[in-house]
Amino acid sequence: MKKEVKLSFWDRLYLPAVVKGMGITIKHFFKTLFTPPSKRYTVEFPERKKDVPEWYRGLHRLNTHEDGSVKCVACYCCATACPADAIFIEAEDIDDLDSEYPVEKRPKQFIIDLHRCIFCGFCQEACPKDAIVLTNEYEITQLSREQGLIPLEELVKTPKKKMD
Amino acid sequence: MINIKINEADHAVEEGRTILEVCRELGIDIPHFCYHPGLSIAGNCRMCLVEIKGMPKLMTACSTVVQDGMEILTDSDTVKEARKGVLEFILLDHPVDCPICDKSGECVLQDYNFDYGISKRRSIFPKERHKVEKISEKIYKNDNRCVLCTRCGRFLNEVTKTHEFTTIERGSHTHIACVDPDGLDKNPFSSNIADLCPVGALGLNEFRFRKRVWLTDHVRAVCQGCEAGCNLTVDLHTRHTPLDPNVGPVVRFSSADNYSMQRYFICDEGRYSYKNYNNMEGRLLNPVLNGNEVNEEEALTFLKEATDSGLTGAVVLSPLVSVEENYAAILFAEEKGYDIFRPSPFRKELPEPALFIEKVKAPNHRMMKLLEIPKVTDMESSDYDVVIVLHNIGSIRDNSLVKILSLLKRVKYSITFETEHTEFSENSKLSLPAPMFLEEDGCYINSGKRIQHSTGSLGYPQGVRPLWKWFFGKRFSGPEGLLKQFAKEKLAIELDYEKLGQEGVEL
Repeated sequence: MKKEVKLSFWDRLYLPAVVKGMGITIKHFFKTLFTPPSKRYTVEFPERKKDVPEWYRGLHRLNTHEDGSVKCVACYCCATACPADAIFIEAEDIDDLDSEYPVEKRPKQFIIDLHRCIFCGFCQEACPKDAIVLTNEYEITQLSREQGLIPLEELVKTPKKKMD
Repeated sequence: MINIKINEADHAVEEGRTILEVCRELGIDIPHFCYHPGLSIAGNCRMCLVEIKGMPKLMTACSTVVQDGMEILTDSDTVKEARKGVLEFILLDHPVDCPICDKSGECVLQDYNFDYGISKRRSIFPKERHKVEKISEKIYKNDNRCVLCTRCGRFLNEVTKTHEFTTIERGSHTHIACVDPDGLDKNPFSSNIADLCPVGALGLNEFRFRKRVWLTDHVRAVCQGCEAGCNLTVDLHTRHTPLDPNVGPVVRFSSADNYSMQRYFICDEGRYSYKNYNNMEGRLLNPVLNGNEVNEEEALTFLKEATDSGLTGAVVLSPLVSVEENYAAILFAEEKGYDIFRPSPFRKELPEPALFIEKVKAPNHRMMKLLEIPKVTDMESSDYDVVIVLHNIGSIRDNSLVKILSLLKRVKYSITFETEHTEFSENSKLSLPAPMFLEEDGCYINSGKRIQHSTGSLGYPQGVRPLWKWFFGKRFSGPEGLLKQFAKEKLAIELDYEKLGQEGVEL
């Protein structure tokens, strides 16, 4: 539907509105310029980063044991709890029954589909082994669809939370 | 009949039965590990303790026979306290590694611990550890999880009588030991011990870490391996997430209890036959006319042309196909005046021990015999213009196969109804795609003349239609209508799926 708007002569000049708008911009410019950086509302983003609260739910991480092996045992609890079907796991038999403390099972594939993930945190709630956690990492943009499928090898490398 | 009181309610029950059996039939759940309907009563897990008024101590429901005037409490505070104690003792040495265990999701110990157990372990001593081992090609054993119900040992001692398992050592060191791993491999029933185990102590190597059980749907079906008609629980994986690879829907077969047949086990051949139903590569999904894939209308035109011109014809039924599909073919043959024949089923020597395994390797052979249909090899003249052959996954005897192939090659209009690309479909003018047994509801008559219903939960794949839809269009709304008509006209009884229920009806 088209709406008819009657502009007055003053409105049709446009210049007063432009001057008014520029006035507001310049006012804020000078206000921020003379405020000390610690009290400013804005952050110069790529150079400086804002700290997020510790409960922030960002990119996933798979925790590892001290020897570097994954804590995950592919129990599928996270995949079952996931409301967005964003987790895909394929289990694997390690075949270490002869060792003293057999682990028996580990994920062969563990893929998180970031396009589907809604960062609800149900996976870390469901995890019985404290393997999957959501970190404070929020810079998670990719250049292609394929890069949005985060495999096991990358999930292990996600930096830990700062508090840990 | 005697009168007893269970949880303050009056019941009239049969004499000479145990409390647990009576309660199971009344729908009252009493937790138990060591009791199994197909095995002897051991009474060693102490999980089924119930309170009986007048008795000084709690009694095991599995071994106490009901008596007139008995007053039983299955859910009193004393009973709950006892269950809690029993579970605490069982879990003393249990590793509680449910995330790794393949039984989790269908483990009764897990369920009972949620319902009656305590959440904290009070013992300060370390848990005893045993070695996990793959004891045979089929079975792995994890003694850490064992609750010593001895169901596995009793099964091998009493049912197959092969005695491969025994319990060794004493007290808290007791565990199950396999004394004859080779015998376990040769035993045609040994995989049942994985089903029997109430916890994850015994499992199938093949199912190890393949699929979590709660991600599958469980449906009841009838085994297609032989004439015995054993009941199966089929685990289907139908809920695919976007990243899942498109693997076959059938995850595993396990046994389902049939109390009226008194059969609780299945043979290993039947158990591992689930792989036959995952092969979608060889499936016939479109009608094939003279070697080219055609659409449904062209196939129907050919079918009409062949059958509406009043030519002589023959229909070869199949013992591998359900009652409904066979009856649809019989009905069609009777309407057109065609002759009806049956192929001889494939036979195989029985393994040792055989128990209930049958020689005839076709699930519905008894129906052919019941209707007294002549063998295709006894056919006197083969002067036919139209031949319709039914077939499904499985095999028939060689002499019948040769006879049918020669028929198909000779006649003018040869039509096969087939699930996969086989010799039959290659040698006929028109081959129509048929559903396999999990894709359509169907009934099978076993060697004991019991008609049983097998659930079709997968639904027809794209392009596949049942026989009655090809031949009769919209006359029948589903296979149930065909079963009703079959029962009324051929057996002179009233039958429907509700009446058949889970355990079937003896004819």
